Amino acid sequence: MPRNLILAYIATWAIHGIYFIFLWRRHQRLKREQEALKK
Amino acid sequence: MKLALVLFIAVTVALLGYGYYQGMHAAPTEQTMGHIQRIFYYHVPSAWTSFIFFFINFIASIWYLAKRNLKADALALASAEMGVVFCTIVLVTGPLWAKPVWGIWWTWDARLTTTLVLWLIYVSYLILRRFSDSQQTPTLAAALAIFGFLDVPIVYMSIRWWRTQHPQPVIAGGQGSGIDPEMRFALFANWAAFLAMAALITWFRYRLAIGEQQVEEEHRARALRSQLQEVR
Repeated sequence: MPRNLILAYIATWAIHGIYFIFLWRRHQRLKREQEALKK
Repeated sequence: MKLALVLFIAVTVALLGYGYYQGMHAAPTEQTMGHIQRIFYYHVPSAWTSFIFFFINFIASIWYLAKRNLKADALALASAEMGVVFCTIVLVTGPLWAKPVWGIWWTWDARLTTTLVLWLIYVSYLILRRFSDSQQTPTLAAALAIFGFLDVPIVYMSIRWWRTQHPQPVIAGGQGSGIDPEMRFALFANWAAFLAMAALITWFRYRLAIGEQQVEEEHRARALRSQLQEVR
């Protein structure tokens, strides 16, 4: 397989991965804020 | 609801696996470019998916401006983020494909430039939403989104209106265009997979945005209550 094809495949999933991390961190922060409001 | 979500996740993962198999193995190798052409199965469906999510953002922005509905605002935000993710993939995979085929990473032709402008518009939209504290932010963002969407048809039509380095359309390109049926099948299999994944992530982001709006509302209500108590 050509190098750039592998790079394109990795880049596609790396971009999604970065976005998943962003979403997960935001989700955790929201949970913390909701907990804090309940107290 | 949970069962439906689990089923949808399972279908999405299966579609992604099937799309990978179709794009990387089953689809025939293109005669001139060879295996590098397989980037097509990520590059093109990502572009189409970004257009669809920018369109959802456009509709949700109009809906928000018309009804001031917070759900519309949450949907606009979620779909814009998804559109930017896929547009980023287009802008990264494009040069990786261009270098071995054209001999250059980038050229300022109409398709590439309008796509970069599209990405910049929606990144500006997200920056506005992220860093503006004003209560007018959703309204300003909705207005920006409506004007920003005007670039989508320009990107789509750019290779039809102008002579570009970027190839002419292979789908819906009129006479003389078209691709091998097996390639077309692999392309649509990947697009279906990307759409399913994007729908799933957008749904998750939409719920997150609704939760954030509720927390913000609660903070505002508490601040108002404490101000009223101080006045009394």
